Amino acid sequence: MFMDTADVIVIGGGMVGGAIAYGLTRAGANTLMLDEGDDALRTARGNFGLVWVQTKGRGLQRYQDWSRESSEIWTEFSDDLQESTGVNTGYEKPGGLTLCTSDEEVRASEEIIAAMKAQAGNGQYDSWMIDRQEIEALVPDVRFGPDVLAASFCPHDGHANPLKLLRAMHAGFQKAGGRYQPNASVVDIVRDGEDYAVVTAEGARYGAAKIVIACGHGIPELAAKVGLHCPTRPQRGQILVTERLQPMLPLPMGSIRQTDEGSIMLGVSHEEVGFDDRNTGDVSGAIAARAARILPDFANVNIVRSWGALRIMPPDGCPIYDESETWPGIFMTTNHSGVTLASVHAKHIPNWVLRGETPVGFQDFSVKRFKGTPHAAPPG
Amino acid sequence: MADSVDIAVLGAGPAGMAAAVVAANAGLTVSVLDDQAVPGGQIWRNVEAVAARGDIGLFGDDYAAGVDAVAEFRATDVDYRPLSRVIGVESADEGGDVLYLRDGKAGRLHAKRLIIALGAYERPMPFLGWTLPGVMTAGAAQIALKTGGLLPERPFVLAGQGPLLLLLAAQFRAAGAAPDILLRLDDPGKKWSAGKHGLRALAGFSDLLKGLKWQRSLSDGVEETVAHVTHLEASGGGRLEAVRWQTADGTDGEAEATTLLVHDGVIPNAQLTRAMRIPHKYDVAAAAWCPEASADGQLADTGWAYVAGDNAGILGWAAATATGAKAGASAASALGAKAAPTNDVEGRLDRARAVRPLLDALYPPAQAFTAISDDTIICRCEAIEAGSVREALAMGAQGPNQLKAFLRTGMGPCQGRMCAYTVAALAAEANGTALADTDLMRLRMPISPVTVSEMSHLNETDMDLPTA
Amino acid sequence: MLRRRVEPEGDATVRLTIAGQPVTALRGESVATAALAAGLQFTRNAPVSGEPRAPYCLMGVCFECLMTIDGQPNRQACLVPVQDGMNVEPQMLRPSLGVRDDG
Ligand SMILES: Cc1cc2nc3c(=O)[nH]c(=O)nc-3n(C[C@H](O)[C@H](O)[C@H](O)COP(=O)(O)OP(=O)(O)OC[C@H]3O[C@@H](n4cnc5c(N)ncnc54)[C@H](O)[C@@H]3O)c2cc1C
Ligand code: FES
Repeated sequence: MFMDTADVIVIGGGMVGGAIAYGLTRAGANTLMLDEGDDALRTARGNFGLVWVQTKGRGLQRYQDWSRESSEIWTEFSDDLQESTGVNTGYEKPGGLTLCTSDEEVRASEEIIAAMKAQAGNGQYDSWMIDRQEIEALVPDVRFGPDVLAASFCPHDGHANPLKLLRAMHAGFQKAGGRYQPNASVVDIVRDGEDYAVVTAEGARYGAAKIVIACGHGIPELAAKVGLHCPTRPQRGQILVTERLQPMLPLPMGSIRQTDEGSIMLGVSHEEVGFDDRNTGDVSGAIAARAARILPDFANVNIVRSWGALRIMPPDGCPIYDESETWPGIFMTTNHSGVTLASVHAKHIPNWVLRGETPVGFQDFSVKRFKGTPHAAPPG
Repeated sequence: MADSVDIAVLGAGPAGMAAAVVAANAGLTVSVLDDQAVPGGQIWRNVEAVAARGDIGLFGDDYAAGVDAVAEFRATDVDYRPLSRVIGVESADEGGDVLYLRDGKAGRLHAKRLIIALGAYERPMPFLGWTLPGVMTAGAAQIALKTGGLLPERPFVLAGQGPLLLLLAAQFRAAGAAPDILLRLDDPGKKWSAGKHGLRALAGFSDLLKGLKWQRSLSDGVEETVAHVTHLEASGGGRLEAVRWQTADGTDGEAEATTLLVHDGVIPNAQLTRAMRIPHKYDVAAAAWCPEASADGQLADTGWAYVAGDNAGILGWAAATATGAKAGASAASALGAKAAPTNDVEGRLDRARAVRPLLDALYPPAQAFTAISDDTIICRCEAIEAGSVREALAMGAQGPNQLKAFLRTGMGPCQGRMCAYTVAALAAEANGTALADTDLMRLRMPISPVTVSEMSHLNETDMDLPTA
Repeated sequence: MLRRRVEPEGDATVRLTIAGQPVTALRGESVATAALAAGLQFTRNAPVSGEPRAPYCLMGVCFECLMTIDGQPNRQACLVPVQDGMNVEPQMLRPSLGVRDDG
């Protein structure tokens, strides 16, 4: 009556589910990854590709450390993927800039750095402000517009090709013996003796002792069935992509970066529009106008594609990892930095799922942190 | 802010012009946007200038009909905006906003009703070597003849199938450049099995007669005609030098060539309606995805947008004038205007519809997609071969959207215009599903490239764009 | 691959420069057909494979006709009508906007 059974079922084949499933199989677990069809709302296909540390974790120190650790082990993670699959994720860690184009933006960046430093307390947070001349020295091949005044710089920032990352994780998972089942939209989780069964919209059943719910925007509904509260909401981000250009941006500049393939990605909006993932003329216009202000020579560059994608946004912008108390062995993992955190997800989540081993302070990520607090607006 | 009209018509071909004329005569304000410099669309491209230079005779009666149609369109007070490229449509204020490029700027035009008539383009026909300079579509060569008076250089091979192929062959011959070799990718045996459509098709007999006339005149001046070619290949170092083929009975052939023109019928130009997320249906007989619309062209899921002409489904220019007039009248009366559709709309439509099943049966798409060899480039922009697509499908990619993510098929500037059908066919082949159950890859605004500077003109919000 | 039936005459003549050569074209035609008539073997290098490519559809669909027109890279030459004094170059490389151009 089961289509298939496994030690662990990972629900969701996006950036988060993909990393966890890859890690689980490499840790020796018999793993089944269930995924939706071709037309699913996939944040994994719509994101910006930053492996970003400088602005992550304000208000939750554990998240700052988690992002930092992720950046530290990303090279090794990426090398492993390439070795086992031949796919190069294009990861580079040249450091990253957040450009400031007005006095307010300069003040805001300075304020973030001061707050993050104070919060970290241990000297572990390193980002600092650089002036226009230093920016020009770091990015010598383009001319900056007069509005570019300063930037915050963090040496731990980098970027990868998110599509190649996703492909590599899927290939690595399958090479290590993992089984991938597309067109399986999970609609229910039920008990099956000591174990669990998941039921798909197509009516198929799959069995496992453990389940990781990592299906992005589908988490709140499934988590509720096993007694877990998942307070995430969609937040739209629009992105523009240009034609391929000669290499000219040696490091990602927050909302402007050049990919390993040569195209320039321009981003990115933060819009509260529910599950509407369309892209719009006015926001595209605003993104283009900002890009032209920062890099006036880009005026004649062609934008060849554009899209809107829905971030999976927790109330405080920080990840949530939890295990159900009433359905032990069922886990939920949700966050909106699936690229940045892919390396720690592949490394640590399997230990938690398989053996209950967690890194120090991991319980800070529990959804319990929201108990009784009004949901704060997330920082950018 | 957007400027605003009652009715915006996208495309100034037979359908768009007919729609605009009906709506303008009903007293409504009408704007027509088209990416060409002059009205006429594909069939009547450059017809005013060709008539003026005395070359109209080269192209036959159907082309000559464009002289009056364009004159009638010019005589209205329609706000005609040539060299305007539509990049997207958004729903707004009980109507739609058209996003378009003109004079180096992106603009926004609000319309209470929208009529989309962006026509058709030739079905991409991937084969080994089709990216070589020297290989182009037969329609492209026709455009070059209509606009620049250009002719194919010899040795010249024409390959493909369909009524339009035969017409083009006749036009090239009339202009003094008959093909040296004609490779027919259709199966002459089919003629008989198609006979059962004969009666229904009688209503469209005039078109049929024309078809027969082209066929007869076709062989005049052609040195060699090869029927039922099943395999085609172009080769050369950096440009076309030779064409090789094989026929159904296994006979091989090869010839030197400077020019290879190919044609495999036309498909609706549905990039815009797809980007608008209108549902599209695969029409099995026509082997094409068409936007879902009511009888008068109103698009599914909108109360304000219509589709007309070949954009809605391939029926040819005469039907396009009829569906255009119908959509124009329907949109106008929805706005409370009294619109009189032009004469014999239903008759023209019936005749075109009646002949369609026969044409579909006679000329199915030549390309049996399964026959595409692994080393054939299917995505020209990103130079992706069929073999990589098959490999990704075997790894679990479920369809065109995931293939795009894995391989970049459809991510180049043409946005899948050249590969979407092939990718869908390869996915259907691998998944063992029917094409009708396979979707094309998703599309979004802008449907054509826009420069950063052009796009920045759409900025109205001055929104805050925090980083990361 | 294409040649002119008759040379443009009188008012119908447009003079422009294509790949460094002075060229006459017919008013109303596109830059892409003018380039073909001028004997240009290809209009661009494919940015991925580097292969030479030439116009394929001449109606704005295939994007093989991308050329640099009056200094603007990657214009769709089949949609741009010829104009007197235009300067047209094949698109040989991915555009570089850099202060430093490392080709
Ligand atoms: C290359 C080619 C050659 C053909 N030759 C013949 C022929 O010789 N004889 C014959 O009977 N039939 C021919 N056909 C078929 C014939 O063109 C159609 O049946 C007829 O033109 C349909 O009319 P329409 O108004 O629906 O579309 P069209 O005539 O195609 O008009 C659509 C218009 O929209 C414009 N357009 C497209 N996209 C955009 C955009 N994004 N923004 C702005 N404008 C846009 C186009 O340039 C065009 O002017 C040909 C088709 C093609 C593709
Ligand atoms: S030749 Fe195809 S787009 Fe210009």
